[in-house]
Amino acid sequence: MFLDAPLGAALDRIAERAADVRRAFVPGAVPEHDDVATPAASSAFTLDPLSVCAPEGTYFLSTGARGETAYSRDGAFAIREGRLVDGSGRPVLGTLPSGERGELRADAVDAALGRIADARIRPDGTLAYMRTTTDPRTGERQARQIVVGRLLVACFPAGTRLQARDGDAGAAPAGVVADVGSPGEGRFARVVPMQRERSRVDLDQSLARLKEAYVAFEAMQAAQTARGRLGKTAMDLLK
Amino acid sequence: MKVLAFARSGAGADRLRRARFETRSSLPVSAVCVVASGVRETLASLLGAPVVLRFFDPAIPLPQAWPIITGDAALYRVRGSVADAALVLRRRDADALVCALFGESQEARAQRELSPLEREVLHRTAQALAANLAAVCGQRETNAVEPLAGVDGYVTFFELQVEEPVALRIGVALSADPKPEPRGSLEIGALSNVEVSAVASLDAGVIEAGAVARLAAGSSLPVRLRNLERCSLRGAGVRLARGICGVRGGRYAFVAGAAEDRV
Repeated sequence: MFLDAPLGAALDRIAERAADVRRAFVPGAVPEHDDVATPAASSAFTLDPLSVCAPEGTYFLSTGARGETAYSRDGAFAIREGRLVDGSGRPVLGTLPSGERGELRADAVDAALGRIADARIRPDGTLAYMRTTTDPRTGERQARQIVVGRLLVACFPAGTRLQARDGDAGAAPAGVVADVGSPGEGRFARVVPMQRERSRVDLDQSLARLKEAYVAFEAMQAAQTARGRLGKTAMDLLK
Repeated sequence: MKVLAFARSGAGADRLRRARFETRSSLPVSAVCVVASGVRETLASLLGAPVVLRFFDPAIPLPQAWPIITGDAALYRVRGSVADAALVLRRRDADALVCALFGESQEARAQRELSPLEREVLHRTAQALAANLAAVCGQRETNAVEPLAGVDGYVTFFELQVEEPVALRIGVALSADPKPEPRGSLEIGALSNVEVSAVASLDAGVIEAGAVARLAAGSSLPVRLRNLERCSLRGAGVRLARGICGVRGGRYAFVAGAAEDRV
């Protein structure tokens, strides 16, 4: 069977709807089609001090596999090998204590020796952990807070739709420049620690739309088959 | 030495700090205190300013951690009678130390390599610091230190954190971790007041399984007289002695015949 343009477009619609269904399971994910979006953002409490909820309309920044900047609302972070990474393992970008912007990473030796304890993200986006040292004169042990850096958040002009990737992150559209800053500064609100944002995709709606896409594809397939048979019959009559 | 410990951070949805076995150094903290105090005094005399210094607990780094610890560091071997030690000065720490010794600001120095003169000063500083390592590597015949290419075979690592007048860290690696000495934390006398339940039981002899199966109300089970003399005394499930059961003075009694040979 030859695949004509309408059938190809129907298959594309199925793929897009299936992608939206997958996004329903990704925290903070935004659907490609607005008809399956939830009415408002919502989040759930978590015991994880490295999970934060981004302010409305803003995104966390991370570095993709090819070095490109990825934007995501999923604030379920973790520390791996001293680096703060997002749910997909991408390094998270932030402002370092030196003032430069880059990947947030703890001291390499601290990470290698397992000295990073009680790591948490504060409402202003500061990532800090506790490190214990001993005073040789008194033998007194003291835990001190070590600041790794501060998360960066970005927002885009109203109506901007990010170019979807694997469902949990997107890229800025060509020609659109993100406004980047720190939580709690300027136009950016603070992040909410120990919260994890739910997906903005309504699972029931997305499944219903996926089913509709399949039905549409099957209907078009049947129509094409009927049209083919009709053409063949006409040709037979002409012969 | 492996010890049972809890993870430093909680993992999973419940954030539980799970129990696990950790390899910990047996190097006494008191020995590190001696080293740290000596290094503080040495640095204070070299820098001409009071030094505030703290230290991190000794650790046994995993094999994959050593390249991270010594990545861009200058290493100086210190031979001792008990173990070899290595001073580990990471690039930025070496820069900070040299800057402090020359009274130069780190910003002005930027990222340039150490000059031959600065390297010589760093070497001599390491030599001066190494004089304080006797507490962890044993007595030394000379105060010389040798540049070291790598720390293969080194086991233990601890760091000294200088906070004032300059922020830097000085690492010390040791080629051997002290062997832990077995020490009982409880004397045997401390257990003497613990109450255990004592049970004296009669050994009624041997009986066939079929005979047990046929037992019913009214059945009689023959017991030989000599078996009644085989009684054992158990405490907390452990047989303590064997002997004879009977009655003395209107009370059940147990006459110990042979004590069990237990440690």
